[in-house]
Amino acid sequence: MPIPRGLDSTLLLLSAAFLATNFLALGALRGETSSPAHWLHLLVWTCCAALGQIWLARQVPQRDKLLFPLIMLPAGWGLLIIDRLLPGFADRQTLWLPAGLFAALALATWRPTLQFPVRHGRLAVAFITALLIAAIVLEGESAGLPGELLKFILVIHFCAWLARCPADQEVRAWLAGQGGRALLWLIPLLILVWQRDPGTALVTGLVLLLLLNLATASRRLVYASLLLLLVSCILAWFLLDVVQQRVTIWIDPWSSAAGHGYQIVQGLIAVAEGGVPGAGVGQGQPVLVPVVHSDYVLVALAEEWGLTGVLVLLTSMALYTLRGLRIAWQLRNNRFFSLLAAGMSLLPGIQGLLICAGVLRLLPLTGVTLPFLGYGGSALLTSLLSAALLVRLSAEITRSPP
Amino acid sequence: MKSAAALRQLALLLLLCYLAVALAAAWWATGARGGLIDRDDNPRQETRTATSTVAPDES
Repeated sequence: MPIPRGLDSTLLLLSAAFLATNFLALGALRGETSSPAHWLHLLVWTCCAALGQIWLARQVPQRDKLLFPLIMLPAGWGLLIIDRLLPGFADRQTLWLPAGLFAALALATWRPTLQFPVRHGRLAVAFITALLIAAIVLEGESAGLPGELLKFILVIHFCAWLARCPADQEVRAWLAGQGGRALLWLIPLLILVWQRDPGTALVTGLVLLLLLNLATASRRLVYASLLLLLVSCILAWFLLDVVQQRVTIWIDPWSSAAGHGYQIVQGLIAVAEGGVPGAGVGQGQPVLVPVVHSDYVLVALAEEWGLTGVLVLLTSMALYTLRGLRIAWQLRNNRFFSLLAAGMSLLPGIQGLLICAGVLRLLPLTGVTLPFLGYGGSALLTSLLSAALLVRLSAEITRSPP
Repeated sequence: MKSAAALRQLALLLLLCYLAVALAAAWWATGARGGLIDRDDNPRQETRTATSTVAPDES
């Protein structure tokens, strides 16, 4: 379905109006409306949105025009929520937005971007894995940027590899001969699990399995993937105490509401307090939930903007993922581009689903951040880079019609 | 891509997952709301109690 002319600019203007109203309300509550520092985050977001829109309109006119507004709304909303929760942290996040957007715009504009993973993918995976190991050795448990980049690079490289997968009857024989290659993806995933970040490993693993099934469309592989996932979950249960703890509090958080289940119970209470309309920006008490600015940011949104806000966010996330899958479908005559579009939309799509489902007690907590919205500069950078690739790919549709 | 049908099934599956998350949010924000906000371990209860026990200003 063609997008009505000017819809992207209208959506950006609506996002700007929503953010300006909320920043005004927050400033009034704090008595800071006349302070220029209070408006800094909104100013940076507005400059990024305006410059990004103008740049993309000139440099990538054939792009999917909905993608940019769909990422700028949660990015701005995230700045607002972090400013409301922890103003000092918002300053850091505000620095990451223009830096990430600049890198993303460069990636979306530069056409050879799409050839890089085919030529140098293996080298990139090895380099990022080395960075990850160095970060773990130097900084202890936190992987930060290398962990986020690894997820992104692994998916791209996997797509480039899968694009060479032969026709149906030869798939199994071909896969059997690729055992060595599997180590290239398994080793970094195991490192992520070992450094107690099973959430990132789960998101990456799920996306890789879905891509494998998309590329081969083999029912046997679907069942084998599900079995592999089940075995991995059982192994993680026995090997990692953090997984045992998360599953136990997921099954019954109420019995340990003052202990390990405190975060999940307080999170659900915050969602309930928000109701349908929400308490209003600055009017709730989401700071009572531990680590609310990171993996529990949805709870802060639910308490202050209510179910209405949650539904708006989920709609924008779902629309972004489905637009990405639509781009993959439109590029189906080019296997690599098609798989890459699917991978780049599944990465934030699956991550967002897992953390929202975890916070709302549909699944055990994964501890990943909410894409574009949660606090974390490296997570924001990786999400913006994956969006940039999707924008670049959407512009390729006219070059390679189905 | 081997099958456009696989892509369509995946899109449908993701849509259903998003719907399930939206329903869960709706459940905690409406259906289970009363039971949750009245819990003794809701720290907001203390603020509410403190506010409601302040004597009204008679002047």
